[in-house]
Amino acid sequence: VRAEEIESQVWDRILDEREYDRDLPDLVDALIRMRGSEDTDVLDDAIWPLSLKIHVLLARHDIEAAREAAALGERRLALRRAALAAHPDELAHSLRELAALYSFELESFSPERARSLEYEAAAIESGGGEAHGG
Amino acid sequence: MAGERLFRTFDAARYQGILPSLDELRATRALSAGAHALLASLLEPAPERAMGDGHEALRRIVRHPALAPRVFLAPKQISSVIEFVVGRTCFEQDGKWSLIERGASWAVLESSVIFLYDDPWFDELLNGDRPGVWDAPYPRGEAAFRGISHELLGELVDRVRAILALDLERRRPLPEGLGMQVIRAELAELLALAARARGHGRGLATQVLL
Repeated sequence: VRAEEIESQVWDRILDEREYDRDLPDLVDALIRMRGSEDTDVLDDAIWPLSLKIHVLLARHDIEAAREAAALGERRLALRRAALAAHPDELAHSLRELAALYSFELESFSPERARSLEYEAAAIESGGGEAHGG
Repeated sequence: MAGERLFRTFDAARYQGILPSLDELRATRALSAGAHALLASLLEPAPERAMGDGHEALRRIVRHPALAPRVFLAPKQISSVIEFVVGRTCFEQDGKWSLIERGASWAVLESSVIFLYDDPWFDELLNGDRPGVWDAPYPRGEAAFRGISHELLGELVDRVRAILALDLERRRPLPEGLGMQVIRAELAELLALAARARGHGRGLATQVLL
């Protein structure tokens, strides 16, 4: 089965709001593995499966899933830093999106990391900040 | 919400026109020039009401035509854009509807729905088994809807009138406290909506509210 087909299946189920399908986490994990093993430097296709997985995790509404989503968010940010190097406004959005992933039920489980991401986003938006690799 | 049925006036021709762009959004790759131009045309004026984060995400897509949406947007944001584009393009008032407010471009049927299903013609229509009724491929999930072609509206009006002419009280026992006038008022709203759609050369869209 090609990665495109699995990706399409996962995305279709998310569009249909079937995030709770029991086999969906395994499917999206398989997709991430396939994309990771592909001999490709296409960042777009490495980023999207992580976004799909983060979406599926957040639908679970539990702290362990939230932590896992944040960890995947860090992986995604590393890829986005490269993909969005010429688009600082979007990099700032990505930083804020990751900062939000460190919250569960309105409380941050890593306030220091969330603050650092917010700080970097603000610095980029004010035009005075350089994106760093953290 | 549970089991109410929403009807809205709907422009099926415009929907067919934007379908290739919706397919492109679903693909999450960089958009063609045509799709980009369509999306850019939908940015102004800003919507009067909050519509998820579809408008904001659309603005970001338009600002970065060379970037694939899959790079910088989350799945939920892309589905919100799809919903926004359909709402703005094919429905009146950006697709606005309300359970509380009454409006000229929508009708919400609750108590009267059962009387529609008693009519075999309506039963087929609402179940999507009648020619001229089709499932719209976008948006999906709770926002998914079924299109009812303009050509069916004349018969739809006749059927609603026929239902209204029946002795409804004798056909079904009503839940306590529910007046027949509520049911008649809902059906009258559907009649007015269908008349409006016919007058504007539109069809209807319908969906069950979950």
